[in-house]
Amino acid sequence: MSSFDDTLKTAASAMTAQTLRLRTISENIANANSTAATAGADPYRRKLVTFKNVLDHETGSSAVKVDRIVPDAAPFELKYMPGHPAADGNGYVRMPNVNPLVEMGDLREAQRSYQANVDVIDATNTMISRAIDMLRS
Amino acid sequence: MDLNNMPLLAALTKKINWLTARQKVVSENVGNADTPGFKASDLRPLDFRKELAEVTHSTSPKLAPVTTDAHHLVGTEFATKLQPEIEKITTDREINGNTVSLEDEMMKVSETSSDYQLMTNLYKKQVGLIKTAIGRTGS
Repeated sequence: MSSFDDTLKTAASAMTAQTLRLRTISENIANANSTAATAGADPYRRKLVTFKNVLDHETGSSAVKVDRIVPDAAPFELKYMPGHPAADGNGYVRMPNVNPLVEMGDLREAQRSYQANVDVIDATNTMISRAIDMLRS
Repeated sequence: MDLNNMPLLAALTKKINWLTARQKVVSENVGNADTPGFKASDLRPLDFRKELAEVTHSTSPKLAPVTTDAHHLVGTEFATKLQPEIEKITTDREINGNTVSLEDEMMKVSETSSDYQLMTNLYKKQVGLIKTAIGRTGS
């Protein structure tokens, strides 16, 4: 039974990690147009989530954890908007380095991984109830 | 009466333990499907035919204590503690060194689940046969 618990714990840890990744993606998409308020200030910088694999010494299984949330070092895009408060001397505004297409792809990947973990939990639960069913009959 | 003294039930128990251990390994693989550098692993397949033959045809179970004296008692437990052998899959599937194939893992999940159902059903059937042998009052 404890092995089933480990299975569920590992899947749950992965789901938690994917949820945090999804939250970061939503922050990126929401801030896709967040420019600075004053000239010379930086706009919103895209965030990236990295995963790591940690060995749970209690159960001996390898769980998933979010390693770090790091800023994306990609350069900002320039957009010509002379009337904007954040425009520089030439009338260019620095836009966030968020590409909505990349974010949507990332979002799908997180969704699929989450779903895979839910399927594992479903299958494990079925196995547990089948084991309990052995008491019946 | 120890049900595990029956060869078929002992083999079924072993397979059930193997499937439980495999489900754990597969869940680790699925969970780490996006972890850079993670190497997927799998259990070495259990040869059910071999296991069954082993428990059916051997007079003394594997690793049984040797009885050097007539007064020694023979244990009733089979020495079949499952130690699943884990093997790593090392062919890179992604540029970050991850070797998990989500498709393969999901196949394994459903395979493990249905095998588990097969084993528990067989176990139930076997116990049902014993109950029939005991008689009506047994059920």
